[in-house]
Amino acid sequence: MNHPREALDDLLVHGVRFSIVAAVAQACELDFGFVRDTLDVSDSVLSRQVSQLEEAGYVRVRKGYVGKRPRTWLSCTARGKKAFAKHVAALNAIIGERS
Amino acid sequence: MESDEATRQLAEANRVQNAVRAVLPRDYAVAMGWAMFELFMIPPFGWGWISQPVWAAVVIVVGGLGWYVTYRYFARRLVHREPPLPNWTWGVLGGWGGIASATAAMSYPSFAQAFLVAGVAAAVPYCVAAGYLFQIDHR
Repeated sequence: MNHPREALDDLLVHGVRFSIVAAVAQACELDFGFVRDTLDVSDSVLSRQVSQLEEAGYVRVRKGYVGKRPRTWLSCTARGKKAFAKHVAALNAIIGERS
Repeated sequence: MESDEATRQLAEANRVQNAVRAVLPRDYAVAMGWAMFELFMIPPFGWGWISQPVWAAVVIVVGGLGWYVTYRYFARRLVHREPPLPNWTWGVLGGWGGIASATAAMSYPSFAQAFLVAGVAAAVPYCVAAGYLFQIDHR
């Protein structure tokens, strides 16, 4: 029988990437600055991790304006939501295995 | 990954999702605010003891303030989504309020309750919109 850790998503094992997907998985679009502040990371760290998630098709990035101010919005794709749910199930299985 | 690390990751996901939940849209509050505006601002035009021009000035000031608050809410919110109601809905609701008020102004004073009826008629669609948005915001 496989250990539950084998069901973990390689991309989401990274704490910041996991937190990004956790945040965007439950809202349509989140402001980039809000995610940065909530995760307490720098712009560059968030950009780098978001790029990787975007490449994997987990997160969508949309640039727009509110008035004259440029804003970046992050949203979760169906693939990202599925990967997140699977990863969370694996985490729960790992915890369950100990107890 | 060990159990402690898994627990830590889940706790972090929980923390982040709670932070997102705290800023989820509250569009229903905007609709409800405008319903209250229509309900309490239109009927006093039919109260004989309030000067209509003075009350019109009050309505303009409160309406302007409401418009500013509405604009700020939509411009500054941190969670964005496809609007559950198309933007023109707000224009239609506002227009309906205008038509109801104008009709009341034409039928008053022969119909003494005209402004009360207009206020209720203008507020009801906002209440319906607020109920719909509340249900979406709390899905």
